[in-house]
Amino acid sequence: MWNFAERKSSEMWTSSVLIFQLLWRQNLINRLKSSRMDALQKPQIICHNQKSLDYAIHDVKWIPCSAKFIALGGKSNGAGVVQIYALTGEGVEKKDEFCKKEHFKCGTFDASSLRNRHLATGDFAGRLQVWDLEDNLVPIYKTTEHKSVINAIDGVSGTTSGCGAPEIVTGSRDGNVMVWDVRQKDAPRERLEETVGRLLLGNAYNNEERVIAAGYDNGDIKLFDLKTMRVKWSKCVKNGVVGLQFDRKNIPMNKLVATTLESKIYCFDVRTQHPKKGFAQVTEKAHNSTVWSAKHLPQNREIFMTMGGSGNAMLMEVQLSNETDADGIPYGVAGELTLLQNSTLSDQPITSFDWCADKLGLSVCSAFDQTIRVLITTKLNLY
Amino acid sequence: MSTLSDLPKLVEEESSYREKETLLSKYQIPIKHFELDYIENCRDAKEIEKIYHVLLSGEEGDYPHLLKAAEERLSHLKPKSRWLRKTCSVINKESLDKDALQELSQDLESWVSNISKHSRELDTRKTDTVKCDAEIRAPKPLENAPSKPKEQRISSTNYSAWDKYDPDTEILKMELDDEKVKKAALEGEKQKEKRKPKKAVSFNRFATEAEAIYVSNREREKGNEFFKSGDYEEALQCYTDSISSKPSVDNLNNRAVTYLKLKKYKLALHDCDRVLTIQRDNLKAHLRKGEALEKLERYEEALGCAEFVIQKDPNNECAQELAGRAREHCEAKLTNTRMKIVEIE
Repeated sequence: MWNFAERKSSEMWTSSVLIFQLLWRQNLINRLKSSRMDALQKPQIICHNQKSLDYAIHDVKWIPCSAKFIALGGKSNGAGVVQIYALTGEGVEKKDEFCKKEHFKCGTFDASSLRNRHLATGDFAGRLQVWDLEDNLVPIYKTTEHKSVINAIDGVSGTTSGCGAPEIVTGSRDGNVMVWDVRQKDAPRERLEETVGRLLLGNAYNNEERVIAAGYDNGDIKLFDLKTMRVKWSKCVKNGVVGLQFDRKNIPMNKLVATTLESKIYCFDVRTQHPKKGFAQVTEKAHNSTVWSAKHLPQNREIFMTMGGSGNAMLMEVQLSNETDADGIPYGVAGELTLLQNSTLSDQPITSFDWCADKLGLSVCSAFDQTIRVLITTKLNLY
Repeated sequence: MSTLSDLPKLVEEESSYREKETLLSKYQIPIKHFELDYIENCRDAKEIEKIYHVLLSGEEGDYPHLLKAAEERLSHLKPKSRWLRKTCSVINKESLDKDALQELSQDLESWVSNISKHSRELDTRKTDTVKCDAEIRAPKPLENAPSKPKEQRISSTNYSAWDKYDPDTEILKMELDDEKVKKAALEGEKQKEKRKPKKAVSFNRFATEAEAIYVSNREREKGNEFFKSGDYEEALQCYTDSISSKPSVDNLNNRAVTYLKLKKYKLALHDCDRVLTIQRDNLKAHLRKGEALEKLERYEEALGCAEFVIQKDPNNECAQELAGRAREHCEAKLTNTRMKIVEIE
C-alpha cells in the first residue's frame, strides 16, 4: 500500500513537470514568434547604395518626377558644386555637374513647375540663384540682396496649382528673411529682419494664406503670417533650432517639428490654438547629440525621419488629436512619439536628408564623411 | 619636457580637476535599491529607468545580472522607454536574402523605368514661362503684434487709490475679459468651418500626362491623410481633385469609401461602378458597392456583390458579415410575403 502510494505521487510529480515543461515551451515558441513578427512588421532601413565624393556636401534633393537627385556643396578650393546623379538598377551614376564661384549651401525645387524643374540655390556669398539644370552657364534668376551666407531656403506651390504664387523664401546669417517671386526680377517682395538659422514655408492652402516658420540660433521659433504681415506665434525652446519642418505645405497647418542642439525634438500641434493653452507640444530626447533635421514622409504625414549628430537616423511616428474644453473651445492634445526604427548609417553627423516624393520609402542622405547614401525604408505602407 | 608617454598622466590629472558628479548622486537613489529583489519588485518605472541608466553607464562598476534584471523589469513596466531603444546598424544590400534583394531591386527598376518615361515627357515639353493666376505680392512692412497696453499698478503707498479699489468689480472685469477671449476663439472656429469648402481649383490644364499623374497621386496621398485623421470633407475634396486630374482605380475607390463615411450612398455607388468599368473584378469596389447597396436597402444586389467577393476571397470577414446581414433581410422579406398570403386566405 505504502509503496503504491509513493509511486503514484512520484508519477504525479513527473507528469506535472512534463505539463509545465510543455507549457513553458509553448510560451517560448509564442514569444519567439511574436518577436519575429515584430521584426518583420517593423520598417527596416536598407542602404541601397553609397558613394564617396571629394567635396563637402551641404544639401541633397530629389528632382521631382524623376529617378535623379542633386548633391550640392563646395570643394576645398572654395568652388561651389552641383552634381546630378541618376538612380539605375545597380547603383547611382553621375550624370552632370557644374561648378560656380562660391560654396552652395542649400537648394530647393519646390517653387518651380514640373515642366521646368528649376533649382533655386543659396550660396555662401548670400546670392539666391535659380538654375536650369540643362543650361547652367548663367542662372535664369539671381539676386544679391543678402550680405552673408544663406542658411536656409524653401519654396512653395511650384507643382500644385491653387495654392498661391510660386515663391521662394531665404534666410541668411546677415539677419534677413526675404520672400522672392521669380516672376519679378528686382527687389524682394518681403523683408523680415531677424537672424535666422532655419526656415520654411507652409500653410499655403489657398491663394491668400501663407505662413513662414523660422527657427533661430537662440532657440526662438516664429511663425510669420504673410497675409496679415504679422508675427502669428513665437516660442522659445531651450537650444538653437537646427531643423524645422511643417508636415505638409499645401494644407491648413497641422504639425510643426523642430529639432535642436542637445538632442531635443519638439513637435507642435499647430492645428488648434487654444487662447490659454496655446499649441500642444511633445518633446522627445533622442540621438544623444544635435538633431540635424527632421523630414516628414511625403506619403504619410504622421511619420518622419530625424538625423542625428552621432550618425544615426530615427524613424518616428506621431499621432495628434483634438479635444474640447468646458467652454467648447477645442484644444490640441499632444500625442506620443513612437520610435519605429533606429539605424546607424555613419560615424559622422548626417546633415541632410530628402525623401523621394514619387516612391514610397526611397530617400537620399549626406553626412560629414562626404558620402551620399541612397536608402530604402521598407514596410512604410503598413502605417 | 613632456613626451608622448606622459599623455595618459596628463589626461588623468585633468579629469581629477573637473570632478564630475556621478549619475548615482545626481539621481539620489539609495544604494540599497541596487539589489535583485528590489529591482524585481519595483513598480516605479522612473526609478527603474534611473537605475538602469546608472548600471548602463558603468560608473559604479559592472553588474551584468543586475543590469539584466533592470532591463527586464523596465521592459515590463515601460516598454517604450528611451533607454531600451536599440540602435542597429543600417542593413547592407549584401546581407539581405537573395529573394528579398531581388524583389527590392526589381521593384526599384520598374519604378525607375516608369518614372524616367515621365521625366523624358516633361523634358520635351519644357517651358520658360511661369504660369500662375495668383498675383505677385505687393511689399508690405512687417507689423508688430499688437501689444497689450500695460495696466498701471497702484503703488502700495497710494492709499487714496486703494480706497477706490473695489475687488469685486475687478474680478468681474477679469471674468468679462476671459469671456471675450473665449468668444473670439469660438468665432475663429466657426470661421474655420465656413472657410473649409471654399477651395475651388481648376485641375484640367495639364499639358502633359506626367504632370496629371503626379498631381493626381499627390492629391490622393493628401486625401488618405485627411481620411486617416477623420476629416472626411477635406479628404473628399482631395480625392475629387485627384480624380479630376487623372481618374484611377485607387482614387475612385478611396472616394467611394469616403462617400460611404459621409452617408452619400448613391454617389458611392456611382464611383464603385466607375471602378468596375475600368477593372471588372476589383474586390474592394465590389465590397463597397455591396455596402452602399445595403444602405440603400437593395439587399438582393448587395448579397450578389458580397457573394462575388466571398467567391474570390473566402476569408474576407467584412464580406461575410455583409452577406449575413443582406441574407437576413432577404429572408425577412420572403417571410413577410408569406405572412401576407396567409392573411388573405
